[in-house]
Amino acid sequence: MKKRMRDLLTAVTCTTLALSMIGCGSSGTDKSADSGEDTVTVGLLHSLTGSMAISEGSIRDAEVLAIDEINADGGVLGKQIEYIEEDGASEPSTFATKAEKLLGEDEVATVFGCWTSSSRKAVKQIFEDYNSLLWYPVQYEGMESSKNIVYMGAAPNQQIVPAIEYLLDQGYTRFFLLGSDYVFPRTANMIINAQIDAVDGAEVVGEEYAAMDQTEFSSIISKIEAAQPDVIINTLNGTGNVSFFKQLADRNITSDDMMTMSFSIAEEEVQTIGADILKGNLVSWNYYETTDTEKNQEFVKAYKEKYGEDRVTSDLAEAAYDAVYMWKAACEKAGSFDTDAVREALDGLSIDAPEGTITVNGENQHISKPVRIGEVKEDGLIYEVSATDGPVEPDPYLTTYDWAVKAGVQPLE
Amino acid sequence: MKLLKKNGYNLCFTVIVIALALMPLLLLNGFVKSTTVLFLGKCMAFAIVAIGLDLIWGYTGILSLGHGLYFCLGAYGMGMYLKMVETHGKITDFMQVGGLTELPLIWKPFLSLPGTFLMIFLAPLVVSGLIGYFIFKNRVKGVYFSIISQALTWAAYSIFIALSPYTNGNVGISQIQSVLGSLRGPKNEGNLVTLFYVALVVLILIYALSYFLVHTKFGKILIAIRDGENRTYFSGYCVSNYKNVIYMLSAIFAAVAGALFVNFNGSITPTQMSITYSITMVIWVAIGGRGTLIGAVIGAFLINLCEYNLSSGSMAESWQYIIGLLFVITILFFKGGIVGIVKDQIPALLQKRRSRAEKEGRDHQPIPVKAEE
Repeated sequence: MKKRMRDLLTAVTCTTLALSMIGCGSSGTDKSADSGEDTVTVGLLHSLTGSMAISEGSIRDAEVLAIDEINADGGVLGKQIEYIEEDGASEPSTFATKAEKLLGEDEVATVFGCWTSSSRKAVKQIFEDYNSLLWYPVQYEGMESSKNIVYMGAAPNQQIVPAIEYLLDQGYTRFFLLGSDYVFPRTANMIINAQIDAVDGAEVVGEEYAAMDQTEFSSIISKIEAAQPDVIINTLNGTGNVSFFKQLADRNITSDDMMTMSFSIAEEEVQTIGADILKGNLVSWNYYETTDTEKNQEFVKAYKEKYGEDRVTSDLAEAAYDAVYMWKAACEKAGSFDTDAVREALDGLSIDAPEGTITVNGENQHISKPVRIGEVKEDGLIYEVSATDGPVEPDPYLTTYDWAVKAGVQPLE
Repeated sequence: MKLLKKNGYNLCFTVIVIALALMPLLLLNGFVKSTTVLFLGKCMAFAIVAIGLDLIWGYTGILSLGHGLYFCLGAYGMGMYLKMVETHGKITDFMQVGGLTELPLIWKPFLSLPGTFLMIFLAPLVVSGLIGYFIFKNRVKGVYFSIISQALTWAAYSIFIALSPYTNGNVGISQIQSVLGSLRGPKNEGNLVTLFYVALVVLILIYALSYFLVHTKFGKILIAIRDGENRTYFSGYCVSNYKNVIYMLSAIFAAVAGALFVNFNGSITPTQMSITYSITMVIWVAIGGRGTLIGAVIGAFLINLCEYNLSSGSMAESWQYIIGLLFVITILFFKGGIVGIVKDQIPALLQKRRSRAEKEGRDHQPIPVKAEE
């Protein structure tokens, strides 16, 4: 009897468990983008846990700030914005699952999200299949354009190419390329190699890749010392930067001995690495906290008010903030939240952003934006040392650069 | 009652299968969203890896912390086939960026679907066979095996990232459709339903095969190895061969699961090969209850559905604490996992209470009974 009881119990409980599991999987909320209510729902898809959480948190904060501001100002097309947050957990396949959930289950009007190229590529097909728009706020390696992604960050010709041009102008001739081993540094260095090859008298004296979580750089630093470059092009990402610059400093190598030009160090990274170590080094972005525009003063003030005085704004946070405003402007121009209508409205659309006036290029859905070379100063902020005259048109495939066409850096198709 | 007693686990599995089989019908009637069905598809793939892990850990006592490797072997193979369907057999964009001008030899077998299927079996078979042969022949066991399995997976992970012209580094293979074409949107619901049933059939076959296996003499020997490896040696069995066979089988299960997963997911990255992810797979089995097969299935479904539902909205930042707490409690207090709770803990509790009640009845003592415990 006891034994029978036990087995009966096993079966019954397993059954309930199985049913509840499946039930809990299907308990989707029924929110429609154009439901005729006075709210419109958007999705925020960033890593809130895992190794990318620390970086992606700040761009998520910027997006929430923009949404709150727009809501306080009366919303979009008379509707208040509601957002559903999903955690990508720093894992591309989770990003795919969550994108699926936002678009298929929650039916959001649009999604702001992603940071790493791998997460963007993992969700790209999903956005294309659902014909929705992803607002991607990060500078990236280019060689991509999808009609379902708006690339708010810089394409290579809006960050990397002008930075190398600047260095060549300044008389640097021996370049050392150092990067983390993933797609952005690999592609960036492919472009830089092609660009420098086309210039007489300039050469790449070395190219090294470090593992993503590498913290030991002494052998790489020895190679750098042996190659005697006059500038290091640094595309290291994340924690690698901290160790690399600290170990450079330990060997008493400063920016006076060897200049570095970094593409992944913004204000937040300066805070973690330490301004005393980084001071004098160069970076290349489209925006700095110190950028002198009226819009930027408002943005920095609002950001610090909401999240604390010790927080800094960065190019990435600013691009994410712009994305929400750009979406609002496009919806208002289109008079609808429909993806096709919004996309059509995007072509040539301009807004006044903290970095200056930015315009969508309808052909590749990238943004034309100004490029600024900056120098890290003792106070931990980055100050502009050179800037392009006006915005630079995005060219993700570098088709307008002779050296790039000659070197064949374009992908297939 | 006798039927239930003998087949409690199977009955439970049948219930899960029926519930899953009903999902596409509910989808066609509009009761569930296609995203739910798609996610359950991924969960079935996870359940298959979990069954494989249960075979080696729950039944044979080999704790592998590196099954992500085999999962990825299957997933990359399938993913590469699907990618080359998109490029019509030409080289892919990442190969071109990496400086390759023609398709590397290792990807040639994946140009055709039968070739891909063959490789999905062969690749994990060869890799796990070699690893298993050297490790088990040398009688490496217990925690040492776990450490080696972890190290090997880490090495493979690094190789997959370093060989970016061949594997696209840490971006992995993305922008692919399933074998049947796109799974999204109302007009592709047919594809989704078909693929879902294919996955369900595979899950049933793998469960049935495993169930059959653990109830044969072979299965009994596995259990004997788990409970007393030296005694099994002394009884005249070549333990290392048994271990190797079951290890290879579970590697193949993982690869099959990976191949199914990539169809549902539309991308595969080396993250699935990382140590963290491999340990996550073990956790599914631990939570569900090892050595029962059904526990692995329940664990895989339950943990993934919990993660899926908890990690959004207001819980987005704190969900990992909740799941972490669940793990800790299960591991500390309920060694048998969920199945153990249902099968042993609850009946034991009931029995204790009944015997106490009987005792009190005998003693005729009017002690007030505590209301609830």
